[in-house]
Amino acid sequence: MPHVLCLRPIHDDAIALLCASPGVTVEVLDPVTPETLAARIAEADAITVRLTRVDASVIARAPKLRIVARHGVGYDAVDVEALTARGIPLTVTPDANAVSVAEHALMLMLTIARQTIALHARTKAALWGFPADLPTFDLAGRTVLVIGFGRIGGRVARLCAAFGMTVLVRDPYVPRNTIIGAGFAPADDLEAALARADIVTLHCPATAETRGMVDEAFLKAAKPGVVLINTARGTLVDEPALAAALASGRVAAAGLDVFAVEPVEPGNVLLQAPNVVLLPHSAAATAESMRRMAMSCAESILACFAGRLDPQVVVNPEVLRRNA
Amino acid sequence: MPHVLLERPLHPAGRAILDARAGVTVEVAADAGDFTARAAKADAILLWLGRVDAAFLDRCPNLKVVARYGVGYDTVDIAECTRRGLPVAVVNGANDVGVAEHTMGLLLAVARQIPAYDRMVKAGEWRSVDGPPIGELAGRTVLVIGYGRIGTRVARLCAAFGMRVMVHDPAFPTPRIAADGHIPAPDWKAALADADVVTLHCPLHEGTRHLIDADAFARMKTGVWLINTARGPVVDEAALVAALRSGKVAAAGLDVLTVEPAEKDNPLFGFDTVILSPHSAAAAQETLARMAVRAAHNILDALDGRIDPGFLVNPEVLRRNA
Repeated sequence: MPHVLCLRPIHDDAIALLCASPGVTVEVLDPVTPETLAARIAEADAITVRLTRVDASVIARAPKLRIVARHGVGYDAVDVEALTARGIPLTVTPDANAVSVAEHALMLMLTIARQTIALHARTKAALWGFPADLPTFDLAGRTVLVIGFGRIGGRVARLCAAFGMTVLVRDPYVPRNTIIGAGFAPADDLEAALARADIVTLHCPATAETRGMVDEAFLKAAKPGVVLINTARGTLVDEPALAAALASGRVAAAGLDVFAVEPVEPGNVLLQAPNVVLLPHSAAATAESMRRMAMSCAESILACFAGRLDPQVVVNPEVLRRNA
Repeated sequence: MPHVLLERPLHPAGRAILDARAGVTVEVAADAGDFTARAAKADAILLWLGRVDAAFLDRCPNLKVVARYGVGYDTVDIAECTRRGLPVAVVNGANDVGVAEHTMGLLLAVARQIPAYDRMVKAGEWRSVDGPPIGELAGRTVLVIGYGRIGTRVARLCAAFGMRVMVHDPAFPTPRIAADGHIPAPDWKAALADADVVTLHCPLHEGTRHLIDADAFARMKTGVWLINTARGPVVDEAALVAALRSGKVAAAGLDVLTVEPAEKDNPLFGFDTVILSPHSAAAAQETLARMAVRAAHNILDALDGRIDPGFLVNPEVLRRNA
């Protein structure tokens, strides 16, 4: 009787899909605390994970665990090595949130370009007109540097092109010809691309290679007055360096959906920085995306129980070969 | 010596073109009263939001062209200008990119409830998945009402976001709408029942005043989003307030209001899901410069007797004057 433990609720349609499978039982843990988790994890054949940290100690207390299904695409809160050592696949929901996150990135660009937040507040206060210290700009004709050309970055690049922007793409793991074939300009030389770009938008995972990528040197190489958009991971950015660049005007504005520490801490320097649009990691929180992520988790869990898990959604596919 | 009167200071990109013309004098009015007084001596006037009617024109015997810094012309009595053989010039083509982008900006801001989320994060409230409901554009159906320079761009952008795009424009052949890849909606009232988003891109005239009234709202889907970057009076604001109150309209993005500048007690300001901007769709730096350049050329070309009829609201005056 496989038991699925959901660490925080997921969409009702996904719970229904799991429950409809003969022999599968489902339990929703909410809230998830070290105590509630410790009490129930031993029973779980499968867990769905939203924001809970799944480290080696959690995994060690789950002797029956056969699959960890991440509700999302990032997995920096999951100890992949510990799972791989046990032969447990970690799945993500790669196709569920790309549309939503890409739209969110464009929304942040337009919110900054149109001064949406400041002008909304002024209008509500019956202050009409657009003062010179709230300049607005068109995206058309601007140059954007898209860093990371995966499912999300690819969509962002296409949307930017639809707005009439010049699109530069930086991704050392994608062949130049793939980028050129998609209609964009590969940015082989990061510094040269930074010097050209009016907007830089991040769409790469947080890895040892990318963590802290947007540091003082990166921001110095960027065009003065650049706009930074981050809907990827907060740890890609050196937050004090960004706050300083915003304060000096070197970076004109930033749209940030993610922070190095989340929930964002009261002392985070970016909370007080000028010209920032700050969001609570809500890029993939649309109704449509939440449902797709939940359904994808449920499908992966059922496929795992049936022994036919799609390697495309598995972060550590080597465990599938070993298990076979 | 032709004399040009500007209602307000013109963006330097346009002002330079006027100043470079030998023999043309330019002055800027201090305020509305000053504008009316000085217009008596003007050969050309450039209007922002100033009104031009028969009484105004009676006081301007020298006037040869009425130019607007914008594309709307609901502030000008066109019939009266035409009767007097006065060309009315607008800056067609200068602001469509900016207004279309602003429309998408409002639509995405509505979809993501951006002011509320930003405010929560800055106030220390972290609600990544349990905040106000938010949605995607992809897969939603939009009804674009008005398929002119701006509406065509908005339709293309909506399609790029993966939306299903329906288009209504009585002045545009339906086969062309279909050829552009969109769904023609000749019966726009029927199409309202099918739309998740309604966005307005028609001019304001007697036929479009209160186009979106209580009856139109009644035909819409519950939870619809309304975007207006056209003109405030195209929407019956009292009916919109009622539709927001009942939940028929879930959210709205409005760049224009019935009364502008906005009045403090506008009941629309009481809804968290209504996102507002101060008629700033065409206020991006690039757009302001393009509009100023076009307006300056319109004035000089009209004074030179060689204005492109494409920039006139009433091109029939050219044939008559010829």
